[in-house]
Amino acid sequence: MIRSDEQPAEQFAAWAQQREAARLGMWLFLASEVMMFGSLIMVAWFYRIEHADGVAEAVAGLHYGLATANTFMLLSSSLLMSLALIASEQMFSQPRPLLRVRRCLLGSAVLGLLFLTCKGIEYTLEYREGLLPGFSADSPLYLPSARLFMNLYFIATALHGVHVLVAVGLVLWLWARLKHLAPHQARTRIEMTTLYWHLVDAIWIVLFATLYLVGR
Amino acid sequence: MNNAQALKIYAVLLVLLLIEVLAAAFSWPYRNGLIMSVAAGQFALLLLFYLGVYRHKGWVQLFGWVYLCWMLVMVVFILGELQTR
Repeated sequence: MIRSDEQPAEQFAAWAQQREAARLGMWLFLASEVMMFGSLIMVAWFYRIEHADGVAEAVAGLHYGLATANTFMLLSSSLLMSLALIASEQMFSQPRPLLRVRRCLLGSAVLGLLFLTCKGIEYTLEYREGLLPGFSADSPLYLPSARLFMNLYFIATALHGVHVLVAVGLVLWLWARLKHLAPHQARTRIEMTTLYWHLVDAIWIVLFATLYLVGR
Repeated sequence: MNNAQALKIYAVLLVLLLIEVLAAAFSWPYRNGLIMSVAAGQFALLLLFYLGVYRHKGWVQLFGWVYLCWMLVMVVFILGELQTR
């Protein structure tokens, strides 16, 4: 059962003030994430400009069908997170929106796990084909710049995968703990987790186009 | 944002995904520019509607613009480097 007697943390006068502080902190964090992934994307574009042939060779070997499925799953999970946030905003006006919020959170987590599974399958295929850096002495990639691009591809997608894993962990934790949180607390945490999830999705959208599609 | 608006945004995001995949698969003319434009459109839709830049004020809006401007800085830097080589 949701407890309604919870107070904001002692340094805040009201829940609205606490939520605004949490929002500011989260956006600062998200800005730092954008800077990090933005730099990786910029490096990818420099490779493309400097070594167009090598990058084209590397991109041709990537499994863009699996990546497309992954994009679809992340977009769908973002929709579910948005629906969870909308439902959480009705916690005060409607009697039992909690079930709907939990269903949406669970759906997002499942899609996030499917994304990671697909990514694992993709890495396995690339490992067998000798495309992953450091795992094959006789890589089928002829040009050194193609292997360089594969290094970047692996770093960028693995780093993104870690972010998805963290997002799934946060959502599953929220899903399990939601009943024990006060409505204001629950709303704030759902909003922060949703912001993080959407950013992970937005970063993938740019990575997908930059790594898999351009120059195919 | 309500449920119907969230679904509309989702539908547009899927249509844009379809366009970029088709452009890559069937070698449409100017496909590279088109793919990146579509990806930028998806990013902007997520930023404005799902991340909620359009409905927030103050710090949130400021950081929303920082995101967009950072993308712009990257584009200007890459194109500038290319042109001045």
